[in-house]
Parts: sequence; structure tokens; C-alpha cells
Amino acid sequence: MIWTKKQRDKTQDLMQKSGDAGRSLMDDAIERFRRNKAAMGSVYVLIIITLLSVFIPMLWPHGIEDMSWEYISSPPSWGAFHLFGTDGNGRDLFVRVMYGGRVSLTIGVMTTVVALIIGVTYGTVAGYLGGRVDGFMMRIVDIMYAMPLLFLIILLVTVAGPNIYLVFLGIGAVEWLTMARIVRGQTMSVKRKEYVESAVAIGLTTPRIIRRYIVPNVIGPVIVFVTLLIPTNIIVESYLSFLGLGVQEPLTSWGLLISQGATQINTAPWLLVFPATFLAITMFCFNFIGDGLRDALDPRER
Amino acid sequence: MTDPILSVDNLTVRFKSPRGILTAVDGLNFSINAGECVGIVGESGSGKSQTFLNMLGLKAENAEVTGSARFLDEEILNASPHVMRKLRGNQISMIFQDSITGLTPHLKIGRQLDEVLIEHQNMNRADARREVLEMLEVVQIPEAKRRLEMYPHELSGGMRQRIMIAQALLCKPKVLIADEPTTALDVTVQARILYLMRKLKAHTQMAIFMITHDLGVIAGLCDRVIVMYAGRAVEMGTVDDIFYRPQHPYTKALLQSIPRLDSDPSERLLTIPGNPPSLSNIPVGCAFTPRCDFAFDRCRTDRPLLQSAHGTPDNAQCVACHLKDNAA
Repeated sequence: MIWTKKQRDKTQDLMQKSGDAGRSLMDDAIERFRRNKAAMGSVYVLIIITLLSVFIPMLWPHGIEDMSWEYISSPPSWGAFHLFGTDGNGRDLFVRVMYGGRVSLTIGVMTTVVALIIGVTYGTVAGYLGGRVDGFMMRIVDIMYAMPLLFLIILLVTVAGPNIYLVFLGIGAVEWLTMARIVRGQTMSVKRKEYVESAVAIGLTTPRIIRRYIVPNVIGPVIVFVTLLIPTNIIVESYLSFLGLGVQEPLTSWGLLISQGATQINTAPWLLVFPATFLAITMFCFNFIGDGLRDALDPRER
Repeated sequence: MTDPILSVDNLTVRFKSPRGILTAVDGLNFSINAGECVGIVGESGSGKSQTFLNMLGLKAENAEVTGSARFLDEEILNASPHVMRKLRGNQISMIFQDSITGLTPHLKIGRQLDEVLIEHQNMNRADARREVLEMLEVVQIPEAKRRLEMYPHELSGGMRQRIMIAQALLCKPKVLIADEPTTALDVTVQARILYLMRKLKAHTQMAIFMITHDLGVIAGLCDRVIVMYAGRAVEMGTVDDIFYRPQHPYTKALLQSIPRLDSDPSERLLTIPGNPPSLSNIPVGCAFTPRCDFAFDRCRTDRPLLQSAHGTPDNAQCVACHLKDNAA
């Protein structure tokens, strides 16, 4: 059980103790989130997947590049620790899936962080300053929106050569556009709130107002968007890898494994099934967490 | 006589809107001395709040502000945002009427209050916190230390309003603009806050502008009163002048529309017929003409100027009405 009796007692205890300390709206939201079983379950599953991706490649008897001639394209078996079978080069699929998880999750998180930082900064500044500055900044976003993602990344890759950091940069540089639009819209509505007006009236500087009064109040929808952006970016990376623009052999990612497995679906289906399952589970988890966060942060509940 | 701490000369605020130019404030003149309280009364939309918001540079994007406002002999109207930012909350503070939404929901009360002092007085957090606690004492927040660790939604409306007042007073401003500070509060809290303001006025020589439509508040707190109608000052004078010797028909009507303890309960309360004029279509002459019982031909064509009601100079009662000339 996710929400054990012990935990509940502990929380109630804490609530009584903290009766004086002041509960922020964020504390309330966390409380609501913790009551959402699907979301909390997803959090645990994600933690497990993350831990596996981090530690399995270190501990597993097979390395990701180790080829064994006895086992080529062999189905899953316990005997030689090939839990998920092996690929056409005799490499262990289990360790490759775990390693692919490392790469995919890192790309998902890193690109989102890039998008988050640029998007929130850009969006709040444009939305808060408004007027011509806003018009100019958002037209730049429109122009960049019109450029296809693939075009941009192909450009980057051909100029600088294939490189995992370019993938971070490329995906992040495209995804921040949507983030900036969302944040700008939120900022424009928050800007008209009385507490922002009163912050202006007590003479705070504009950067301080943006940091302390705007950002915390627009962050709710942003967090939800972030949880949905991470899986989107993992998918984007998979199709870049599929096209040979993303992660390069012998490194691997879920997207790359799936694209390779897809070619052998008739002869070695496990090559597709296992990485695809992990990708799907991760997607589900992020979506459940996103849903849970949206419910928890929904301003209508206040 | 001392120089006024703040004087406003021919302040005009216009809004460009799709329906034409709206004049929200029309050629306003007034001044205030240290330790004085000036009440601003008028119906909703008479330009009370707009006067002060625009004076502080908190204007809407489509507002056009002309005239002059001098604070300690420094022009503040249309001054640079940098200058205004240093003034706001420091030398000139404003209290807004809506306490429910005036504090940001994601910061603890203490942080929000500290910030003002850190910003304006270059204090460190510990010193700021000490000052804040002192100020909360002044506005009578019980268990102040505990409240500072709380978030706005955990406090009652009255308490939040007092926090807002404390925030406005933290830097010991020379001028306080109170925009209907007690409207959202119940009468007991209201009484306490008015008492507090009276005390502050006496002790710190702070000049207070009290914007309200509650004439009771004016009578209890203010020294002088400005009556506004459709963006213009129609009458100005001491509290006694306005309450006992109102000259303008609008002021008279306003006073008659307050329920009184000694009036006959079976009698209907007097109301002023009609509505205030639309700001895009203010009558040519006196703005009050369509609703005035005493209007005559000249009122429709000639705009009356604000002039001394008794032929005495300076700070005495002034009124903008043609009836006065007729009587003389």
C-alpha cells in the first residue's frame, strides 16, 4: 500500500505540530498529490526504472558492447543471464535496454530543463513587460515555430557532427517555444492580479517582481507541462535516432533499440518488445504524474 | 504657513479607448500638508482612484497624464520609472482596498514584508525582520512572530488588511494614500484601523489621503474634504464646511442620502436621480447639470470654475457652481 497507516499517522502528527508553522499552497498541493494513488505509484515505478538504468550497466555481468558468439539473436533465457535475449551481434539486450534508459531519461530530463529555463525566462519577461517588447519577442517565437524541428537538428548535426549534447540543445531549443507561449499567457493574467500591482506600488524592482511574484504563480501549469514534455522529448529523441541523427552506436537509447528491433520483428520480436515496453511504461508514468499534478495544482480547488 | 508636502496642479488623466477619449480626471488642483488628512469622496467612477494611481505612475498603458504633481518640490508626474520606484512604498505609500488579493499567495507574510525594507532601506534580513515585528505591533497583529511564518490564505481578511497597512507604513512614508482601506472589513476592524491611522497621523506627521465613499470615515478622520464628480473637484473645504455648510448641490444631495439616526424611519432615503455621466460624453457645462434640481441655462453651456465660496483666500471652502454667483 502506498499510503500506509504508519505514514498517515506520521502526517497527521506533523500536521498537528505544524499547525503554527504555516502551510503553503504548495504544501497543500503536495498533500493532494500524495493521495493520488496512480500518480504516486507512477513515481515509485519511475524511481525503480531510473535506479535500474543507473546501476544495472555497472553491475551486470555483460557490458553493452560485449558480444558473445554462442548467443546470436537468441531468445530470452536465464542460463547465461540474457534475460531479454541478445541482438544480431550477440550483445545482451537487458543491459542495452537499461543503458538505453539512461540515455533516454537523461535526454528527456535535460532537454526539458533547457526548455524550462529558456521558456520561463523568456515567457515571463515578454508577458510582464508587454507592449512592443512582448510583440517583438513573441514574433521571434512565431518565426522559430515556423521552422521544422528536423531541419534545425539536421542543420546542427551536419555543421557540428553527431553529438549527444547537440541533441539536448536541439530538442531543448525547439521545445522552449511552446513553454514560452504558455508562460507568457499565464504571466499576462497574473500580471493583472492585485498582489503584483501592490508589489509595484511598494516599489520593488521589475526583476524582483518577476522572480518572486510572477514565477511562483505561473509555475503550476508549467510543472504539468514539464511532466508531459519529458516523454515528448524522449519520443523526439527516438525518431531522431531512428533517422540516424540522434545517439550513435555503440551507445544506445530506447528509441534506437526500437528502431533496430522493428527491422527484425519477424525473426527476433524480443528486440522490439522489451525496449518498447520500457518506453511505454515510462510514458504512462509521466502521464499519470502529469494528471496527478494537474489535479493537485488546479487553482479551482482553492 | 508651511509649504505643502504634496501639491497637484491641473492634473488630467485621459484614456484613449475605441470609443474615443475618456477623461477620467479633469484639471484637478489640490495640496496636502504634513500631518494633514484629506478625504476624497465621490461616486464610483468619479476618478478618485485614478487620480492617485496615475500620480504614482501606476498608469494603464492607454492613459495620458498631464499637469503637474510636486512632492517636496520635485516633479513626480511622468518622472522616470526609476525615480518613481524609489519613491513608491518608501516616501509615498498606497494601501489598496482589496486585502484578499493584495498579498502574493506563495510567499510567507514575513518575506513579503521584509522585502520592502531590504529594497528601500538596504537593510539586512535580520534588521528588517525586527522592524517588521515592531510595525505589526503597531497595527495590532496578535502573535506577530507566528503570523510572519504563515501564508496569506491562513489569515483573516481583517488581518490581511492590517498586514497591507503595515507594509505601506514600513518605510515611514511622508504621504500615505489609502484607497478605501476599510471597505472590505467589518465595522469593528474598521474602527480599529481608523483609530490607528489617526494615531499615526498625530505621531508621525504623516499626510494621509483617504479615498472613500463612506462619509462617516471622512467625518471621523479627515481635516479637509475634496468632493469629486465625473473627474472634477466640485467642492473642497474643511470637514465642518462640507458637512455643515455644503454649497454644491451634489454635496448636499450626497449628505442627504446618508441614513441618519434621528430621521423618521418611515421616510424613504433620498437618492440622487439618474446616473453619473459617461466619461466619453461629459456634459459641456457643469457635469452635474442633468441630475441637478437647481440647474439653469448657464449650467448647460458654461463650465463653472472652482472658486472660493465666501470670497476668502487660501484653503477655505471652494465650490464649482454657478448658483453661488447668482446668490451673490
